[in-house]
Amino acid sequence: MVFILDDLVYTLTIKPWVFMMEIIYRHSLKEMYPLDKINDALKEDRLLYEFGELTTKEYKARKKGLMAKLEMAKKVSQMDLAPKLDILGIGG
Amino acid sequence: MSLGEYVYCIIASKDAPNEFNIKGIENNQVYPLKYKSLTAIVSQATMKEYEPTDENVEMHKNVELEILKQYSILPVAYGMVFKNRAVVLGTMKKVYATLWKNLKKVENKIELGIKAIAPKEKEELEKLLDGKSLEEFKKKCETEFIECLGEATVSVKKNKLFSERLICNQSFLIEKDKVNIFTENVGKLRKKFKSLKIQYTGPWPAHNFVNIRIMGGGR
Repeated sequence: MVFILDDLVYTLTIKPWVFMMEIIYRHSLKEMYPLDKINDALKEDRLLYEFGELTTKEYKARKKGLMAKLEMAKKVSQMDLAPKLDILGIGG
Repeated sequence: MSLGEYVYCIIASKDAPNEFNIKGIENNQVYPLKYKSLTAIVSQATMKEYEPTDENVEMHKNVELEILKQYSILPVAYGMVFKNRAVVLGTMKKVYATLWKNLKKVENKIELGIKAIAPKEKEELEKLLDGKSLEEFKKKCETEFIECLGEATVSVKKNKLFSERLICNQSFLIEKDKVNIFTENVGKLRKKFKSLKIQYTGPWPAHNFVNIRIMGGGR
Protein backbone atom coordinates (compact mmCIF):
# COMPACT_ATOMS: atom_id res chain seq x y z
CA MET A 1 0.00 0.00 0.00
CA VAL A 2 2.85 2.37 0.94
CA PHE A 3 4.60 1.62 -2.33
CA ILE A 4 1.43 2.28 -4.30
CA LEU A 5 1.01 5.62 -2.55
CA ASP A 6 4.68 6.45 -3.15
CA ASP A 7 4.31 5.71 -6.83
CA LEU A 8 1.13 7.76 -7.03
CA VAL A 9 2.74 10.75 -5.34
CA TYR A 10 5.73 10.52 -7.72
CA THR A 11 3.53 10.19 -10.82
CA LEU A 12 1.26 13.07 -9.83
CA THR A 13 3.84 15.52 -8.52
CA ILE A 14 7.45 14.92 -9.54
CA LYS A 15 7.15 13.12 -12.87
CA PRO A 16 5.32 15.96 -14.72
CA TRP A 17 8.08 18.37 -13.71
CA VAL A 18 10.80 16.01 -14.91
CA PHE A 19 8.86 15.60 -18.11
CA MET A 20 8.56 19.38 -18.61
CA MET A 21 12.23 19.96 -17.82
CA GLU A 22 13.17 17.38 -20.43
CA ILE A 23 11.07 19.15 -23.05
CA ILE A 24 12.51 22.55 -22.13
CA TYR A 25 16.02 21.07 -22.33
CA ARG A 26 15.40 19.62 -25.78
CA HIS A 27 13.91 22.89 -27.03
CA SER A 28 16.93 24.81 -25.71
CA LEU A 29 19.23 22.43 -27.52
CA LYS A 30 17.33 23.09 -30.74
CA GLU A 31 17.74 26.83 -30.18
CA MET A 32 21.46 26.42 -29.51
CA TYR A 33 21.93 24.31 -32.65
CA PRO A 34 19.63 25.73 -35.31
CA LEU A 35 20.16 23.56 -38.38
CA ASP A 36 19.13 26.18 -40.97
CA LYS A 37 21.28 28.93 -39.50
CA ILE A 38 24.34 26.68 -39.32
CA ASN A 39 23.87 25.68 -42.96
CA ASP A 40 23.53 29.36 -43.87
CA ALA A 41 26.71 30.19 -41.97
CA LEU A 42 28.59 27.46 -43.88
CA LYS A 43 27.40 28.91 -47.19
CA GLU A 44 28.27 32.45 -46.11
CA ASP A 45 31.80 31.49 -45.09
CA ARG A 46 32.30 29.65 -48.38
CA LEU A 47 31.20 32.74 -50.29
CA LEU A 48 33.43 35.08 -48.26
CA TYR A 49 36.35 32.71 -48.86
CA GLU A 50 35.64 32.73 -52.59
CA PHE A 51 35.59 36.53 -52.52
CA GLY A 52 38.95 36.54 -50.73
CA GLU A 53 37.61 37.97 -47.49
CA LEU A 54 38.72 34.89 -45.54
CA THR A 55 42.12 33.27 -45.80
CA THR A 56 42.30 29.50 -46.37
CA LYS A 57 43.36 29.03 -42.76
CA GLU A 58 40.47 31.12 -41.43
CA TYR A 59 37.97 29.37 -43.70
CA LYS A 60 39.11 25.88 -42.71
CA ALA A 61 39.01 26.75 -39.00
CA ARG A 62 35.53 28.23 -39.21
CA LYS A 63 34.30 25.35 -41.34
CA LYS A 64 35.59 22.82 -38.83
CA GLY A 65 33.73 24.54 -36.02
CA LEU A 66 30.53 24.83 -38.01
CA MET A 67 30.67 21.20 -39.19
CA ALA A 68 30.89 20.07 -35.56
CA LYS A 69 27.85 22.22 -34.74
CA LEU A 70 26.07 20.83 -37.78
CA GLU A 71 26.59 17.26 -36.58
CA MET A 72 25.14 18.20 -33.21
CA ALA A 73 22.25 20.06 -34.85
CA LYS A 74 21.38 16.99 -36.95
CA LYS A 75 21.27 14.83 -33.82
CA VAL A 76 19.16 17.38 -31.98
CA SER A 77 16.76 17.72 -34.92
CA GLN A 78 16.15 13.98 -34.74
CA MET A 79 14.95 14.20 -31.13
CA ASP A 80 11.31 13.40 -31.32
CA LEU A 81 9.37 16.04 -29.42
CA ALA A 82 6.01 15.68 -31.15
CA PRO A 83 4.36 12.82 -29.18
CA LYS A 84 5.16 14.47 -25.84
CA LEU A 85 3.81 17.81 -27.01
CA ASP A 86 0.58 16.10 -28.10
CA ILE A 87 0.17 14.46 -24.72
CA LEU A 88 0.46 17.83 -23.06
CA GLY A 89 -2.04 19.30 -25.51
CA ILE A 90 0.46 21.90 -26.63
CA GLY A 91 0.50 20.79 -30.22
CA GLY A 92 3.15 21.77 -32.81
CA MET B 1 28.87 -4.01 -49.03
CA SER B 2 27.69 -4.70 -52.56
CA LEU B 3 28.36 -2.58 -55.62
CA GLY B 4 25.54 -0.65 -57.24
CA GLU B 5 25.17 1.81 -60.08
CA TYR B 6 25.69 5.48 -59.22
CA VAL B 7 23.85 7.81 -61.59
CA TYR B 8 25.26 11.26 -62.40
CA CYS B 9 23.04 12.56 -65.16
CA ILE B 10 20.99 11.71 -68.25
CA ILE B 11 21.77 12.60 -71.86
CA ALA B 12 20.09 11.89 -75.17
CA SER B 13 21.08 8.52 -76.65
CA LYS B 14 21.55 9.89 -80.15
CA ASP B 15 24.54 11.84 -78.82
CA ALA B 16 25.97 9.24 -76.49
CA PRO B 17 29.31 7.55 -77.18
CA ASN B 18 29.98 3.95 -76.13
CA GLU B 19 32.49 4.92 -73.49
CA PHE B 20 33.88 7.86 -71.55
CA ASN B 21 37.37 8.55 -70.34
CA ILE B 22 36.20 9.83 -66.96
CA LYS B 23 36.54 8.52 -63.41
CA GLY B 24 33.72 8.93 -60.93
CA ILE B 25 32.93 8.16 -57.29
CA GLU B 26 35.43 5.71 -55.72
CA ASN B 27 37.59 6.29 -58.79
CA ASN B 28 35.45 3.95 -60.91
CA GLN B 29 35.07 4.26 -64.65
CA VAL B 30 32.06 6.23 -65.87
CA TYR B 31 30.06 4.63 -68.67
CA PRO B 32 26.75 5.00 -70.53
CA LEU B 33 23.64 2.92 -69.83
CA LYS B 34 21.16 3.26 -72.67
CA TYR B 35 17.40 2.94 -72.55
CA LYS B 36 15.68 3.91 -75.80
CA SER B 37 16.40 7.60 -76.47
CA LEU B 38 17.87 8.28 -73.04
CA THR B 39 21.26 7.35 -71.66
CA ALA B 40 22.14 7.39 -68.00
CA ILE B 41 25.73 8.26 -67.17
CA VAL B 42 26.76 5.91 -64.39
CA SER B 43 29.63 4.27 -62.59
CA GLN B 44 29.83 1.40 -60.15
CA ALA B 45 29.78 2.49 -56.53
CA THR B 46 29.18 1.00 -53.10
CA MET B 47 25.49 0.66 -52.20
CA LYS B 48 25.25 3.04 -49.24
CA GLU B 49 23.94 6.42 -48.11
CA TYR B 50 26.39 8.95 -49.55
CA GLU B 51 27.23 11.74 -47.13
CA PRO B 52 27.92 14.97 -49.02
CA THR B 53 31.65 15.06 -48.29
CA ASP B 54 33.70 17.63 -50.21
CA GLU B 55 35.55 14.89 -52.05
CA ASN B 56 32.47 13.00 -53.24
CA VAL B 57 30.46 16.09 -54.15
CA GLU B 58 33.45 17.35 -56.11
CA MET B 59 33.68 14.00 -57.90
CA HIS B 60 29.98 14.08 -58.80
CA LYS B 61 30.29 17.68 -60.00
CA ASN B 62 33.39 16.92 -62.08
CA VAL B 63 31.68 14.09 -63.93
CA GLU B 64 28.68 16.32 -64.69
CA LEU B 65 30.91 19.17 -65.88
CA GLU B 66 32.95 16.87 -68.14
CA ILE B 67 29.78 15.55 -69.75
CA LEU B 68 28.33 19.08 -69.97
CA LYS B 69 31.28 20.17 -72.13
CA GLN B 70 29.86 18.16 -75.01
CA TYR B 71 26.26 17.27 -74.22
CA SER B 72 23.01 18.68 -72.88
CA ILE B 73 22.52 17.02 -69.54
CA LEU B 74 19.67 16.37 -67.21
CA PRO B 75 21.42 16.47 -63.83
CA VAL B 76 20.59 13.88 -61.20
CA ALA B 77 20.82 14.74 -57.51
CA TYR B 78 23.92 13.72 -55.60
CA GLY B 79 23.88 10.31 -54.00
CA MET B 80 21.53 8.39 -56.33
CA VAL B 81 22.86 4.84 -56.30
CA PHE B 82 20.82 1.90 -57.57
CA LYS B 83 21.09 -1.82 -56.78
CA ASN B 84 22.07 -2.82 -60.32
CA ARG B 85 21.68 -1.95 -64.01
CA ALA B 86 18.28 -3.61 -64.24
CA VAL B 87 16.93 -1.29 -61.56
CA VAL B 88 18.37 1.78 -63.31
CA LEU B 89 16.82 0.71 -66.62
CA GLY B 90 13.53 -0.22 -64.94
CA THR B 91 13.38 3.22 -63.31
CA MET B 92 14.16 4.96 -66.59
CA LYS B 93 11.35 3.00 -68.19
CA LYS B 94 8.89 4.04 -65.46
CA VAL B 95 9.70 7.76 -65.60
CA TYR B 96 10.74 7.90 -69.26
CA ALA B 97 8.25 10.58 -70.28
CA THR B 98 9.21 12.85 -67.37
CA LEU B 99 12.92 12.41 -68.02
CA TRP B 100 12.48 13.12 -71.73
CA LYS B 101 10.33 16.20 -71.09
CA ASN B 102 12.88 17.61 -68.67
CA LEU B 103 15.83 16.85 -70.93
CA LYS B 104 14.10 18.78 -73.70
CA LYS B 105 13.65 21.66 -71.26
CA VAL B 106 17.41 21.95 -70.77
CA GLU B 107 18.53 21.01 -74.29
CA ASN B 108 21.38 23.33 -75.38
CA LYS B 109 21.04 25.28 -72.17
CA ILE B 110 23.24 25.84 -69.16
CA GLU B 111 22.87 27.41 -65.76
CA LEU B 112 24.80 30.48 -64.68
CA GLY B 113 24.89 31.86 -61.16
CA ILE B 114 25.07 35.41 -59.89
CA LYS B 115 25.73 36.40 -56.30
CA ALA B 116 26.35 39.91 -55.08
CA ILE B 117 27.43 40.95 -51.60
CA ALA B 118 27.36 44.37 -50.00
CA PRO B 119 30.56 46.02 -48.74
CA LYS B 120 31.73 45.16 -45.24
CA GLU B 121 32.62 48.74 -44.27
CA LYS B 122 29.77 50.74 -42.74
CA GLU B 123 30.54 54.00 -44.62
CA GLU B 124 30.68 52.26 -47.98
CA LEU B 125 27.43 50.47 -47.26
CA GLU B 126 25.66 53.68 -46.27
CA LYS B 127 26.91 55.36 -49.45
CA LEU B 128 25.60 52.43 -51.48
CA LEU B 129 22.19 52.38 -49.78
CA ASP B 130 21.83 56.15 -50.26
CA GLY B 131 19.10 56.53 -47.67
CA LYS B 132 17.28 53.31 -48.48
CA SER B 133 16.97 50.41 -46.05
CA LEU B 134 18.97 47.27 -46.83
CA GLU B 135 15.75 45.40 -47.62
CA GLU B 136 14.60 48.09 -50.07
CA PHE B 137 18.02 48.07 -51.73
CA LYS B 138 17.95 44.28 -52.05
CA LYS B 139 14.54 44.36 -53.76
CA LYS B 140 15.70 47.12 -56.11
CA CYS B 141 18.85 45.19 -57.02
CA GLU B 142 16.98 41.97 -57.54
CA THR B 143 14.74 43.65 -60.12
CA GLU B 144 17.59 45.47 -61.84
CA PHE B 145 19.72 42.35 -62.10
CA ILE B 146 16.90 40.35 -63.62
CA GLU B 147 16.05 43.16 -66.07
CA CYS B 148 19.67 43.55 -67.14
CA LEU B 149 20.42 39.85 -67.46
CA GLY B 150 17.00 38.85 -68.75
CA GLU B 151 17.90 39.52 -72.38
CA ALA B 152 19.81 36.27 -72.68
CA THR B 153 17.71 34.31 -70.20
CA VAL B 154 15.15 31.53 -70.60
CA SER B 155 14.34 31.28 -66.91
CA VAL B 156 15.43 32.80 -63.58
CA LYS B 157 15.40 31.37 -60.11
CA LYS B 158 15.81 33.49 -57.00
CA ASN B 159 17.75 31.58 -54.38
CA LYS B 160 17.88 32.05 -50.64
CA LEU B 161 19.72 35.10 -49.30
CA PHE B 162 21.66 33.11 -46.72
CA SER B 163 23.70 36.04 -45.48
CA GLU B 164 22.79 39.54 -44.29
CA ARG B 165 25.36 40.89 -46.74
CA LEU B 166 23.99 38.90 -49.67
CA ILE B 167 22.15 41.32 -51.94
CA CYS B 168 21.40 38.97 -54.76
CA ASN B 169 21.52 35.21 -55.30
CA GLN B 170 20.06 34.15 -58.63
CA SER B 171 20.37 31.28 -61.07
CA PHE B 172 19.80 31.80 -64.77
CA LEU B 173 18.95 29.23 -67.40
CA ILE B 174 20.31 30.40 -70.71
CA GLU B 175 20.86 29.12 -74.24
CA LYS B 176 24.51 28.07 -74.73
CA ASP B 177 24.93 30.49 -77.61
CA LYS B 178 23.82 33.47 -75.48
CA VAL B 179 26.63 33.17 -72.91
CA ASN B 180 28.57 36.09 -74.43
CA ILE B 181 25.58 38.43 -74.22
CA PHE B 182 25.03 37.37 -70.62
CA THR B 183 28.69 37.97 -69.77
CA GLU B 184 28.58 41.45 -71.33
CA ASN B 185 25.53 42.29 -69.25
CA VAL B 186 27.25 41.11 -66.07
CA GLY B 187 30.04 43.53 -66.98
CA LYS B 188 27.48 46.34 -67.18
CA LEU B 189 26.18 45.48 -63.72
CA ARG B 190 29.70 45.46 -62.30
CA LYS B 191 30.28 48.96 -63.72
CA LYS B 192 26.99 50.25 -62.33
CA PHE B 193 27.36 48.69 -58.88
CA LYS B 194 31.08 49.20 -58.28
CA SER B 195 30.92 48.72 -54.53
CA LEU B 196 29.11 45.39 -54.78
CA LYS B 197 31.23 42.28 -55.09
CA ILE B 198 29.58 40.30 -57.87
CA GLN B 199 30.35 36.62 -58.33
CA TYR B 200 29.52 35.14 -61.72
CA THR B 201 29.77 31.33 -61.88
CA GLY B 202 29.12 28.59 -64.37
CA PRO B 203 28.42 26.98 -66.65
CA TRP B 204 26.64 24.48 -64.46
CA PRO B 205 24.19 21.71 -65.23
CA ALA B 206 20.69 23.08 -64.69
CA HIS B 207 20.24 21.78 -61.12
CA ASN B 208 18.06 24.71 -60.12
CA PHE B 209 15.68 24.20 -63.02
CA VAL B 210 15.32 20.45 -63.13
CA ASN B 211 16.53 17.92 -60.61
CA ILE B 212 15.93 14.22 -60.65
CA ARG B 213 15.71 12.59 -57.27
CA ILE B 214 14.31 9.12 -57.00
CA MET B 215 13.32 8.18 -53.46
CA GLY B 216 12.12 4.96 -51.91
CA GLY B 217 13.17 1.36 -51.68
CA GLY B 218 12.96 0.79 -55.41
CA ARG B 219 16.62 1.70 -55.68
